[in-house]
Formats: sequence, C-alpha cells, structure tokens
Amino acid sequence: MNNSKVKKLISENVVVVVLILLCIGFGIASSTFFSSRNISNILSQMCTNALLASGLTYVIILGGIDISVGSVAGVAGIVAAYAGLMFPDMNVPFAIVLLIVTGVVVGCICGLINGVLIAYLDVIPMICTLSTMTALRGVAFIMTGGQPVYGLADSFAFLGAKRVLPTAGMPNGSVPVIVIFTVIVVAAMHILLSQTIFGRHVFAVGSNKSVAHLSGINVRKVTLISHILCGVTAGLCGVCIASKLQNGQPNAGNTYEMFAIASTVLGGTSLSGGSGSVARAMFGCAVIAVIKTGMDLLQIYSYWQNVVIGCIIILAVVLDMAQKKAQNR
Amino acid sequence: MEPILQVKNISKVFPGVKALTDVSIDFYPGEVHTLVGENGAGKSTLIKIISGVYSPTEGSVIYEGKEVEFTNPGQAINAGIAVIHQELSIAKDLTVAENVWLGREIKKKSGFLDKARMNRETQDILDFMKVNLKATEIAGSLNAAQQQMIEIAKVISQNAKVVIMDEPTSSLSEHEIDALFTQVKILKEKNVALIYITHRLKELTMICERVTVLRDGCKVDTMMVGEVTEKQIVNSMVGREMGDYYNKHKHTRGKEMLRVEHLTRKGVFEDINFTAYAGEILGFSGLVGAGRTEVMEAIFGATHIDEGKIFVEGKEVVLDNPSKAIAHNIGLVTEDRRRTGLLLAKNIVENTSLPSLPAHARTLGFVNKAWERKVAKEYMDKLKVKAPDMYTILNTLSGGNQQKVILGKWLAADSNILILDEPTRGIDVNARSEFYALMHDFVENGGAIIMISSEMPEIIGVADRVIVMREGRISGELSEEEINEQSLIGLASITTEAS
Repeated sequence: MNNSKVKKLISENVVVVVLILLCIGFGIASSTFFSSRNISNILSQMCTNALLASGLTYVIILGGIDISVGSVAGVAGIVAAYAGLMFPDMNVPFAIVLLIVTGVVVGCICGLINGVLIAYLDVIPMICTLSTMTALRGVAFIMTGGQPVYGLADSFAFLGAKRVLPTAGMPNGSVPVIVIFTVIVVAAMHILLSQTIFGRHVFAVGSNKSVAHLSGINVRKVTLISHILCGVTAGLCGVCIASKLQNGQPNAGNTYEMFAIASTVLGGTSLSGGSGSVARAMFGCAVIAVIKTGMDLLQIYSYWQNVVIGCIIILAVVLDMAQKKAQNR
Repeated sequence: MEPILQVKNISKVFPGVKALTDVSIDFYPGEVHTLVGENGAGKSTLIKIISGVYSPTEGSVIYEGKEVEFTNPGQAINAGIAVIHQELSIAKDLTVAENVWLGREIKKKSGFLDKARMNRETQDILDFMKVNLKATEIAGSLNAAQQQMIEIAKVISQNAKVVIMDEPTSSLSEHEIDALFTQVKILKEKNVALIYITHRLKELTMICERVTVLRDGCKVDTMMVGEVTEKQIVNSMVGREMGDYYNKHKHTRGKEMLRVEHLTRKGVFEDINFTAYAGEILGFSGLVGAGRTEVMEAIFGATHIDEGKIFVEGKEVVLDNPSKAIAHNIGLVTEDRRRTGLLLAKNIVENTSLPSLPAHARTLGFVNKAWERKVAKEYMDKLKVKAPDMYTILNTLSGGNQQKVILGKWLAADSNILILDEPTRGIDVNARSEFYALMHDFVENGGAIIMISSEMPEIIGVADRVIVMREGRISGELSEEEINEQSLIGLASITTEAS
C-alpha cells in the first residue's frame, strides 16, 4: 500500500482514528475508563443517540435536516408511558411490543407531518422541523400538564434498563437489552440505505434532484419516506428513554437532536447531501459517547461538556466543507 | 475618429476547446457595433473578455488608449464598461432607484443611505430617457421591457462609455423594441459605444453602423451596415468547410417510434406535430430559446403539457412523469450534463444503473449489484469510456467521457427512442466523432434519435431530416436534400430576405 492510499484511507476514516485516539487519551487519564462496566455504560448511553442518528442520516443525505427528533422522542415516550399505565400487569414481551408499536406509530405520524410539509409543500426542512420541534414539545407538556408520568410496571423498564447474559462479574447481566435492540434497528437502517433501491434513490435525490427526477425517481416520495423513517427512529428512541427511566418525562429527548446531528456529521455524512452512511454515523455516536463519559470520569463540569460538543460539531462541518472544496478544485 | 475600445489578437482557450482565435475588433464612440454569428461562434466569450469575466489566453484589450487587464466584472464597470445581459439582473423586491444604485449606493456623511438623492437622480435619468416610470416603483411590478429601462438607467448613471447589450430584444414585443431603440439612440447621442448582439438581422439596418461576423471563434469580417445586404451577412455567417468527422451515414427509415400531435404548453410552445422513425436521426434546429428543449422535456414527462397527444410505436400514451417515459423506453440526454445529467459525485456504476435499477431489482427491493456491475462494464467497453475503472467518480472524467456514461445509462435502460439535447456541447473533436459513430450504430440497430442542436454544421452533418423551431412553433421541416445553412437560418431567424 503506497503513501497516497494510506492518506486516503485515513481521510475517509477520520472518525475511527479520532475514536481510537480519544479512547487512548481517556484510558491514560482515567484508570476506570476501560473497565467492562464503563464500556457497557458507554454502549447503553450511545443507544438513544444511535437510534436518532440512524434515521437522521437519511434526511441529511437528502440535503435536509430534522431538528424535531428530540421532541418526537419526547412525545413518543409520553404516549408509551400513558399506554403502559393502561396495562399495570403486563409481562415483558407485551411491554416490548407495546413500546415498539407506540414508538413506530407516534414516530410515523410525526415523520409524516414533517415529510408532507417538506416534500409536498416545499417548506424548508430547517424551518419546518424547527416549528414541529417547538410544537411537539408543547404537545408533550400539554399531555402531561408538565408533570412526569409515574407508576409504570417493572416490565415496562425491561427494554431500556435491564441487562441479559449474566457473568460472574456482573450478576445482573452483561449486555444491556437496549444495545441489542439498537443494533437490530441500526443494522436494518444500514442495510436499507446501502443495499436497496430505495437507499440508492435517497443518495440520488441528495446528490442532484433534477437528475434523480429525470431518471424516473419519485423525488417527493423518497423525501417523504425518509422523513417517516427519521420520525420512526426518533419514536423508538423516545420509548427507549421512557423505558429506561420507567416514566414519561415531558422534557425527555430535549437537545438530543444536537448530539444526533453531531454524530451523523462526525460519521462523514455531508450536510450538503449526497453522501453518508448509517454505519459510519455509529462511529460518530461512539465519539460523542466517549467524550461525554470520559469527561464525566474526569469530573468535568457538565455545562462545559455542551461547549465541547458544540465546538466538535462546528469542527466537523468545517472539515466537511474543506474536503468538498478540495474535491472541487 | 479614435476607437474607444479595441480588442487585439484575442485568443481564448478552454480545456479541450478553442473558443476564440486571433480576433481583433475596434469599437468607436457614438456607434452601434453588432456582433453576429451562430451559437458557439464566440460572441459571448468575447463580451465576457471585454467585461472582465474571463481573461484572454492571448492578446490584449485596449480601452481609452491604454491596455487594461480586468480581473473581475467590477473593475470593468468602474472603468465605464457596462453589460446588459439577456437575463436581466434586477432585484425584484427593490425599487427602481434602489436597483439603479445597487452596490454603489449614495451615502450621507452620517453613513446612512441618501434615499432622497438617489430617488431624485434616478428620476432625472428616467425623465431624460423620456420613459414613464417612477423611481420609487417596485421593480418586480414592472414588465420585462420596463425592467430593461432600469438597466439602461443604471448604465447611464454609471456614465458608462461602452455598453454591451446581449440580445436585448429577445423577449420584447415589436412595440417595446421601438422604445428600446429610442434609448439606444439616446445612448448614441451621449457618445457611448454600443456593442450589440442579436440574432435578428433586420435590426441591423434600424440602429446599427458596423457589423462584425464571427464564425468558429474567428472574425470573418467587419462591415459597414450601409454597404452590405442582409444576404451578404448571412453568407458570411455560413459556408464553412465541414470536416468529415460527422461520418454521415445513409440510414433506412423504419417503423414509426414516436409521434406527437398538437403538443402545446401555453406561452412556451404551441401546436407541435412531428413523427420520429426507427433508423433515423431527426434533427431539431433553431435558435436558443425557440422552445426545443421545453418540447422535449414535456414529451419526457419532466414538465406538463396543456394539450396534445403522444404516441409511442403507434399507441397513445400519457407521459406525465419521467418514470413513464423510461418505461416506454425513452431516454433523455439533457443539454446541461453537469446540472441535470449526472450524479457528479457518484461513480460510473451508480450513474449507469440509476434509471434501470427498479426493473432489475432483486426480492424486497435489494439492488442487484452483480447485474449493475455487469452493465456498467458492458457499456464502458462498448462506448469506450476512458476511465481507470468503473468505480471512477464522474467529476474526474472529461466532458466526452461523461457524455458517454449518460448514453450508456440510457442504453442500459433499453431505450430505443433517444432524445439528445445539444449532445456534443463542450466536447472536443475526437470525442464528438466517436459520439456520432455511436449515434449511427444506435439508429442502424433500430433505434430512433431526436437530436436538438444549435450548431448548424452538426445538424447538416448528422441529421437525416430536420425540424426547425422558432418562437415556440415549428417553422418548417427539411428533408435530407433540403438541409443547408441558408434554409436553416431562414427558418430559424426572423428575417425576410435570408430565406
């Protein structure tokens, strides 16, 4: 392998390099960083963000954005909590089905609203989802009167908070259920994007709408479905949060959109559209999760963490733009 | 009289194309100097060099006796060289006065805008021009002709000494043209040198002193308008040696492939009727803006039609979406391949398979990657696309190879009716000749080609039959024996004598 190929490999996988460097750095700075407990912690913290990022990747590849995902998650969590209250004696499989169904339905409705506004009424994605973000957060507070929804069965918490496969060191289980769930959803989203004709059409529309249209692609439909997918993953994220907390918080998912966008962009999905990958976005999620838990371990004040994340997003976008310019030269 | 502006031995080379070769022209104050020539003759390149958009590869621009090198249009404007583009540059939400002073706003000492003074000075100019417009009117509420008056007022406010007008009459009615010519005369009286571009030869005698004919990037001649006839001008525009790189074939006409009847989109094109046959290259000639592209886009389903019927192989079809046209084996190669033809950031495989993916889907809508690689390879070989491998990103290919990939994309989609809109634009001679050979192969294998071209030699060298459009209508059809430059120009332009 010659020099230029190495360069290309690194530049295409910056996020992996950054992830490794961060892990080494935090590993040296904190003795507990590489403990299995901490790694399992990082993974389970990553999950909600990973769910959001997997759907966001689609709309960002289209050249759009969805900043309402945090609010969609909030509404989905509350609907799930109210639904859960109706079945105080539910068993674990029922609880899982209930959570997934509410997540999918609420997410689908919210995604449909965004999708119709953006694809068929040509509302700018940023403005559209800024509005739905505000409106849906309002809905979450109206539904709950501003109070958390308590009193849910323990089975409700299985999906978000429990672990399976106990080991000697971790008698309560070594693998969080939410990690398994997330891996399944993300894998499906990755395969849909990278292996199917629909996925190819998403890339085509994001690369050049006119060319896509003239190649027989229904641009509006592709845009609509992408927004629905993004809503569904946000809804699933919301029910996972509710399950993890074993209650419905009207504020749940607030500001999560920022972390999800950061992860997606860090994962190399271009904000100008046309390229990206769900799998790579997962590395972005890992970077964010590592930074957050690393800073927790080093006892860095949480407000500073927001500053750091904000700076990382800007850095990622600047790098993306620089790469674009270099390509066009 | 001293010329105010001279271009001397100007050549301009773009990658793969020589747009201008050793052109020298003098422009005099108080005169209208018209540039005529076919599309691609080098007129726009020349005005872009004069106005500082391009810098010449060789040669110099001499303005007011001094050699100048403008590196951007702002410098040319400051020096007194203004351009009124065919597409007017009017900010529709601003007033007339704000448009006139755009970018050069007058400020008070306090730093705030001096709106009163800008309005007053604009009104003075408008009054001087004797046009019935108010400085405070919103530009967007005015019609095209009135907006053009804003551009002229702007040019006067800039005290421009050289004014370039690029096809100013193309969107005006007869009556509005008269009003425009009044302004041209006012500019002349102010001793401004006007460089005027038009396709309407009858305008020459109405306002113009000198005419320079350009052909293939070379100056043919500069003539005094009073001393030549329209016929002579037309003759010097045409009559070039045709290289045999067109490789003209005699084709045999086969069955009817595509027929349209009374196709109309109001205000764009009207009552379009024609038939395309297998084994035939049907040329569509005419000036830029005659509505040819719009007709083809409508047939392909990219835009709507108000009236009319479309028949594919004798059967009436409704093509209100490109996917339907593709399903009827129609392919469209657009005139702007970078903007509407290709996914530039994607590779050859992804571009080639794009329209035909659904037809070759595996179960559950998965992409058939083996098939995709196979066709990409097949058409890369057949069309001799020069690229390192089939995963090469389109952005890195030359224009000719990009065009071959587009052709391959439609061949992979089993198209048997191909609509090619300016297929060889910006492609060098060798790639062209290869492309024509591919076109001949296609029709000889039973396909039908409709080729829009604004280059007359290309139409003459390639087409078996030609339909000429003018201002949204078909102005005539020429059989193979009738195709020549005189007849094409005659049908395309609004002249009386030339035909």
